[in-house]
Amino acid sequence: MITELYLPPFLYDIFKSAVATIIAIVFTLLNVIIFIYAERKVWARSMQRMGPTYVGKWGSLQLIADLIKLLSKEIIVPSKANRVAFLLLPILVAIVSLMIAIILPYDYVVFYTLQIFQPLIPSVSYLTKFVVSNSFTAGLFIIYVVLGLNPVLILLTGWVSNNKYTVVGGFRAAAQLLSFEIPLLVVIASVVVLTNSLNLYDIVNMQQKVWFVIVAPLAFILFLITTLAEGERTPFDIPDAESEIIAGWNTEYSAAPYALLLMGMYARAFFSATLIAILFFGGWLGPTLPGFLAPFSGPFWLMLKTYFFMILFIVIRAAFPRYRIDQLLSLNWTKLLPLSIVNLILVVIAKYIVLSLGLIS
Amino acid sequence: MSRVREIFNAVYRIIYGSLLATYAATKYLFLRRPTIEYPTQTIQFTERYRGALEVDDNLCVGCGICAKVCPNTCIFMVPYEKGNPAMIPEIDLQHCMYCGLCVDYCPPGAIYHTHVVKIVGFKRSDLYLSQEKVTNVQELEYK
Amino acid sequence: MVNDQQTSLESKDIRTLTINVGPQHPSTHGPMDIVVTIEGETIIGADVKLGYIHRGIEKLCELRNFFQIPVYLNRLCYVSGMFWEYGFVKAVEEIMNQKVPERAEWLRVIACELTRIASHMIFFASFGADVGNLTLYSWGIRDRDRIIDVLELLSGQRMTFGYFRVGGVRYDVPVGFEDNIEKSLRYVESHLRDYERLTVENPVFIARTENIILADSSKALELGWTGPLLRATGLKRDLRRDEPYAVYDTIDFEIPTGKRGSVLDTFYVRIEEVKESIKIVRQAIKRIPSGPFQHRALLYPPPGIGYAHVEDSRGECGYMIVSDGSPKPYRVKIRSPAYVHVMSLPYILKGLKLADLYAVIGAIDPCLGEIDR
Repeated sequence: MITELYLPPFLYDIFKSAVATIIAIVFTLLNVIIFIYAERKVWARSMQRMGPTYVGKWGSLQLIADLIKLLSKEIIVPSKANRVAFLLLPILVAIVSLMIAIILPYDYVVFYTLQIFQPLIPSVSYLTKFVVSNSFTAGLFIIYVVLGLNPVLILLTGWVSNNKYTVVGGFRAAAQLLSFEIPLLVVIASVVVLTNSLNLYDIVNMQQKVWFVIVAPLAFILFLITTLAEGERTPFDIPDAESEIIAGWNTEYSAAPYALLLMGMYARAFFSATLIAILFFGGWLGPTLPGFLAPFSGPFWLMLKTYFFMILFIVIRAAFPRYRIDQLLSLNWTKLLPLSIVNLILVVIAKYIVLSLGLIS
Repeated sequence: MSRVREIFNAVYRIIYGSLLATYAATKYLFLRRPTIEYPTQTIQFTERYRGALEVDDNLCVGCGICAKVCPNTCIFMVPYEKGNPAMIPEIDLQHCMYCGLCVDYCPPGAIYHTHVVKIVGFKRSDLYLSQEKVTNVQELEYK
Repeated sequence: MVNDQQTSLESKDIRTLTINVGPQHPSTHGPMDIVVTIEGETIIGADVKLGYIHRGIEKLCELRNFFQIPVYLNRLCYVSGMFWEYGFVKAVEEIMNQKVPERAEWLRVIACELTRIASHMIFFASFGADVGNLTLYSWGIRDRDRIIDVLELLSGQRMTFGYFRVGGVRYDVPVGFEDNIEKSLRYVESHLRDYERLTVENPVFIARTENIILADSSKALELGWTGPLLRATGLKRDLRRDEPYAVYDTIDFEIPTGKRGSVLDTFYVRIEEVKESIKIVRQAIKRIPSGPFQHRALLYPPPGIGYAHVEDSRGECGYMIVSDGSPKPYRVKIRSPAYVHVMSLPYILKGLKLADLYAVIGAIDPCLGEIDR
């Protein structure tokens, strides 16, 4: 095993980061597949349908089949589109989306889950040193910045496709994502006010005694709404409203590039679910599991909360129709932004109350 | 004051309505689904269901009324090879719209609907019920 | 309207964008083309192009005998086939002065009201899909299927019924029909509350639909609207009450109306109409007399002109039949309510947002079979 590695420090760091990155990305891709499968199944149940049933037990391999189908199809580029940009942009969207995976504690989840084998293979405990996501002192800020890259890419994606629907979808996406970043920033700031830290691990450890959803419920609601809008989920899936502008900015995409775009969208939604769990619901904090599962309790609670919010996203999709773009913008500028500023003030007051009660240090 | 109450009511309606909608969507996650999986399970047809047409050559008198009332003129009277009756209807199922007028107007009740709906063919002429096929449509059902 | 759009196209104004909604589009209810000119997200002009599924049904009617025609007419609108058969049969009966047995009248009422429920379920379904809530779509199809099961039991077909005959109906009720109907109605009724929760009480749905005013009542009358769209503007117009046919004058039912003629009002009116239809079917099941279900009628009417209209689920469906005494009608003119509604789209759409277009199409609930004929 890799218990002893005699490497120079900088090479060791690079090795460590590479392992953590690959693990985080693979974990994200796996969860994207779980997310899409869960969406199809849960949504189907809500609609009183069956969902996928044919491939594998309960249709569990349907997503793999779909992926193979998408990858094996011909990549069609519209004749009027800018060919290089058209093929490059999905890759960029995917990369930008997956960058967040390294900052979120997915490597923690994987490595600490493996600790349940520690009685059998003692050297597996060495893997805990490979967790790099706790070293991002400004993790929350990086996530925000990476999310900020998305509107540009999506607008470009719509533009280079050279299609009326994609252009309309691209402009809708740009308007929506750009304007929703402001309340998102203010809400994130309110969390930072509570914790004095941008590190996700610090934020979770601050919630030992009380979850932030109790300290700042308004912040949670605002964050839920803004992340739904940032992830282009219903009721804010206006840029790719399939019944209005075909598929919005990704109308012209097919085969592998479409798979990349779809993966990017679902990955962002999955990150949103994790982020909500971390920022407001105490992340991996929870009762310790009994017996040999004890090292698994942290990952278990984090993923349980993440999947809960994933299901919540799906149920919201089942329950709500789509907003209109001008209503969405007016909701943002006239309601969410003032509310987020009010929330910031409330959080400052709440912080003093919570501090005086000794619930956070 | 009434303005404040108005705003309060609006906020209440929004929150209550959202929760109600989410509840309605969640409720069905735990209810039994009325759907069936088609190829493995099939529904029962009702008694009057109008499937493919069949002709009983013991009852048919070869009068040709079915061919005359057919709105799509997809029934053709041809000489019957077995001899009795002298003429028997052949049906072009591609053009048949299953309206059942021929069944209503047949004096001896020799033409009737079966519950056969799955008839598969490789070419269009496979759906033409010639006089051999039209007397035993039940065997044509795809299984 | 057409001229406005042409000038804007000729001037090559780069601020505007022309979008073809249809004939192939995820949210058109059939092959219909709406050419929309948008400036930003605001619609500044719209032009409706129809005729993609013109099958020449009026001409087909002229080439068929009278008794053959009703089985074609349920193809006019495949979600409310009974009404279209009824209108024709009623017009022919008017020329003949044909009496219909009372049991047949009640059976016609039952068939029509069940079809109305099924048709409104399709409206909920397609409207849900239009505004982006596919759950509603699935629920609508589910409940419609239960109603269609009953209609299959009654008429032998799920969509193209062929149930009406001149002088009565084709079949009497089958064995166990009352229990089946009650079971299906209860099934649908148990879900109506959830439709309301998902739509008329849902804040997002309300925000999306309440401020789209289709027309006020005077404008709606001027445009020739009928049915739920007219009632949504606040007018209490219903052929079942204004010119009672069949046995509607003896049945106790309300006519739900909206307030402002908004898209939300049309939805509300239709939900209430489903409840009223359920009420009517229950009464009919209880009060249906025994007796013959069909009188002997002439094979074709004497020379004359007959007009009959019935309250379709979309409005007033009318038939003008000219008979010259031959077995085939000389002329059959069909008045389609959805055609009138769709052709007023350019008036409604001006100044709305692009996303409203789909809500408006959904509210109008066009059925392209009856529009193009």
